[in-house]
Amino acid sequence: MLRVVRIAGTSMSPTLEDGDFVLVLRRVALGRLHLFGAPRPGDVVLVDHRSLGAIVKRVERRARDGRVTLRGDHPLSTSSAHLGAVPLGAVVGRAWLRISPRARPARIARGRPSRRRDELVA
Amino acid sequence: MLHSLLSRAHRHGLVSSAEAHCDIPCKIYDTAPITVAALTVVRMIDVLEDWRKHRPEDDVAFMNTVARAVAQKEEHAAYVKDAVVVIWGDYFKAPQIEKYPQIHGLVHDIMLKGSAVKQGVNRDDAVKLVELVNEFAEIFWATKGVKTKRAVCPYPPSLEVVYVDL
Repeated sequence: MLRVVRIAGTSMSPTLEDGDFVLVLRRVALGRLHLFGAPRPGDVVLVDHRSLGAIVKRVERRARDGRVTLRGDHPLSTSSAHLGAVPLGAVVGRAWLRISPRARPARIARGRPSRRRDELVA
Repeated sequence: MLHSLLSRAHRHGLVSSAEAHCDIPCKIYDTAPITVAALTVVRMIDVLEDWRKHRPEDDVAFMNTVARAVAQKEEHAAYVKDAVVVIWGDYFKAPQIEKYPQIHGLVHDIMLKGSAVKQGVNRDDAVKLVELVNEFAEIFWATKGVKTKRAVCPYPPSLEVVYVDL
């Protein structure tokens, strides 16, 4: 139900910083039918990416076929065109609590997903 | 408190990491240096051929000049391969690939021809490499909506290459 991961890198800055820990609430679903934790646009999620491994990114949108488009919060994050749309099954769950060395543990807010201008042409 | 506890657990391998890495999209991409490198490969083969015809008396001096030309050929062919892969891998994304699906085959052809000109001294291979780089340059600039033109380079080996037409 819960998973803890340590953040490596700055692509989710300032929401999550390098070295933070996050508590991830695992998604519970029967196929596409979610009992708990369906990823929604703006959620920060832990994804088991096919080529990039375990990554933490924000959900940009969910397509009708269930695939999820991701992006980092930082402007220098790998663009979502590069990350590609990931299948729903790759989404482990929602990053729920941030544990930072500099602040008290705090809930990670659902953000406003916005398209970056340079996404179509790098 | 909780963070230092988890840090300790992480050091002991009990907590895994999730990557949130950045790539720097510097946006500086240009095919001109690749064209120059491909032309250099042709030129080095021409220089070698010229020295074959006018072989100097001094064997050591001859071997020295041959070695230098071959080294330059090798270096510039390697640059063509590397620079093409960087543009193809870092710049080309789904929208560009959808519009120019032949890019994968073209890049692969450049890899093969780039190796062929390293292995041998066949001028036709080197000229073909220049032409493949021309096609790559035309597609690259087309994805950016930049006009190009073809013209013969005003220096040896005087081959037709692609220039941006600004």
